Amino acid sequence: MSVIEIGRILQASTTEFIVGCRIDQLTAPGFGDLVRAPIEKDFAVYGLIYDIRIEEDGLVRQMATINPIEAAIIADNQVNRIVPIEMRVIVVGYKYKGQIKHQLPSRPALSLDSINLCSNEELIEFTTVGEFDYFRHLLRNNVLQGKDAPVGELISTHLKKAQDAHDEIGWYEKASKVIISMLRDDYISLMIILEALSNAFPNEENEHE
Amino acid sequence: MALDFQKVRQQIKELGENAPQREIELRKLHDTAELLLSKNSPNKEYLQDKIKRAVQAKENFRCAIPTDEELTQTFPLPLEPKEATIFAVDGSQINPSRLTRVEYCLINIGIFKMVYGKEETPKPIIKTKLYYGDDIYSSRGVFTNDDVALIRDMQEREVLAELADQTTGKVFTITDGPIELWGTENKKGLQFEKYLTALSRLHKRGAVTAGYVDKPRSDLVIRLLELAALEDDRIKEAGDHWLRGISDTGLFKPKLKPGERTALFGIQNGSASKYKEETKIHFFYLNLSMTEKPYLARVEVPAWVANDKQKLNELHAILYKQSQIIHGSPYPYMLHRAHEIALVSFDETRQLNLMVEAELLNQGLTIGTESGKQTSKDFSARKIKR
Repeated sequence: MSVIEIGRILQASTTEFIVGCRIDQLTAPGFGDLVRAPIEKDFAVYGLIYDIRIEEDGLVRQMATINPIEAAIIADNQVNRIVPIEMRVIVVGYKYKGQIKHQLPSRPALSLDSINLCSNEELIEFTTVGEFDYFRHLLRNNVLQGKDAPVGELISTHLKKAQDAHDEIGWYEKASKVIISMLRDDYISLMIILEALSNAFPNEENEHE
Repeated sequence: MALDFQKVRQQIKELGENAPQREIELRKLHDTAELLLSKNSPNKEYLQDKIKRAVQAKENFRCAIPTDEELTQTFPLPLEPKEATIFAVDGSQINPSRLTRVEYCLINIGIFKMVYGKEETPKPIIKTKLYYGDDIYSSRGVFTNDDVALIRDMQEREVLAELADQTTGKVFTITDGPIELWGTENKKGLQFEKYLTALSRLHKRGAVTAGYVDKPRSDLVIRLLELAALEDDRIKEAGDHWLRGISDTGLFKPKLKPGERTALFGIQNGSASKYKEETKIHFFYLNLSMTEKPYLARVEVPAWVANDKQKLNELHAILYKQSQIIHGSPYPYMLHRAHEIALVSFDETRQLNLMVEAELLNQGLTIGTESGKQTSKDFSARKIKR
C-alpha cells in the first residue's frame, strides 16, 4: 500500500492540527478526507480536513490585478514560491498498538510530523470501529462551530466518501441515524446537516423526512 | 521609552516651516540644471574634452560622460527578445559578530532563472557558503560588514559568469544594485581583480549584463552640467557641487514618458581607469511607470552592452516588462524573486547559530559565551515579535 504524504504539522493540539503543504501536494487531499499523523511506530492520530486555505502574501495580491499574467509567472508562484497552504484538521481518534479509538489522543502530533492521506481500507477500518463515536468530536459545540467551519458540509462530504469506500448498502443509513439521534435536542444544527446530507445523497433524501 | 516626542515635535515643526523656502531654492536650481542640459545637449565632444581636462586637474573628479547620444535624447520602449535566458541575482549575508557565541559569516546568493520564448517554469537557484576560522580574517582583522558585502557582490558576479557560460543562446544577467562593486575605489585589490575577471567572462560569453538601481539618488549628470557651466580657465574648480540637492532623476523625470529611457552616459570616477575599454561602466535612466507619474530607475551596463543597440534595446524592454508584473510597485519581478530566494531571515540565522554551536559541542569543543548585550537584544526582539 503506497503512502501519500500530504504535508507536515505546523501547529497541533489534542483536538486539532494545522498542516502545511506545497502546492504540488495539494492535488491529493481534499475537504472531508480522513488523514493520519503517524507519531510513533504504534501510535497514530486521525483527523478530518475541515478547511484548506491558501493565504495571500502581499506579492500575490499585487499581481492578481494585472491582466494577463504570464504563464511562467503563474507557474513560478505555484511551483517555486513558498505560498503558504494550510489545511486544518479536526482530531477524531487515534490508533494505539493496532487498536482504533474514537477518543482524543493523550498527546498531539509534533511540529513537522508528516501527515498521510488515509487509503480506502483505512477509512473503512476507522469508520467501522465502534458506533460512530467520533461524530461527537464533529458535533461538539464550540469546536468547529466556533471556527465558522461548515459542519454540515464536512459531515456530508465525509459520509459520502466513507459510503463510497464501504460500497455496501446500510452503512450510510446507520451513520445518519446516529447523527439524528445525537442532534435530537438541537433542531437548527440537525436541519443544517440534513440539508447538506440530502445534497450529498440525493436519492435518499426522503429517508430523513 | 524609545523617543522623546516632545523634542522631536519641535524639530519637525521647524522642518515644515523651512520646507517651502527650501523648495523655492531647489526649484531655481532645477530650472538652472534644465537650462544647462538643453544648452549642452549637442556639445558631446566639447564636454568629453572638458572632462579629460578636469580629471587632469582633479584626479578623483567624477561625473557622467556623454556618449554618441545627445544629452536630452529619449528612446521609446523597444521590443523584447523572442528567446533568451535571464539570470537575476541578489545576495544576503550573516556578518561575523563578536556578540555571538561562535564567530562565522555566511553568504547566500539567490538566482532566479527565467527563459523567454519557451514554456518553462522559472527556476530558483541558491548558492550558500559558510566562512569560519581563518577564512573570516582579512589583513586588518575579522571581516567587517563592508568586507562581507564586497565578497558577496563579487560572488554574485562570479556565479552569473558561471551560469552564463553553461547556457546556450542569448543570456541576460541582472544584478540588484550598481554593476560596479561598492567600495572598489578604496583599492580592495583581490576582490576587484576577481570582479574584473568575472566581468571579462561575461563579455567573452556575450551576455547582456546589467545592474539595476532602484530609486537612485545619484547626480553624475548634474555634476556634468556643473562642469559644463564652469569657465574653461577655472577648470581647477571642477567638482564644486553648487547644484547640490538636485538629482539626475529629478532632472529627467519630466522628460521621460512611460517605458522611455534617457541617453546613455559613461562614468568618470576614481576607478574608471581600472576598466578595459569594453568593460567600462555606462548607465541610463528608465521610466518604469505605467502611468503619468514617472518612476525612474538607473540601469548600469558595461561598454560591450552600451555599444550594441540591439542588446541595449532588448535589455530596456525586458526591464520595463518585468516591472509591470507587480502592480503598483514598479520593480523587476525577477529581482524581487532573486531577493526572496537570497534572503536569510532572522529565524534562519538563529537556527544556523544553533546548528553551528551544536556541531562544535558534538566535537567536544568549548564554545564562547554570548554577550549579555546580544541576549538582551534577542529577548527584546522576541518580545516585539509576539
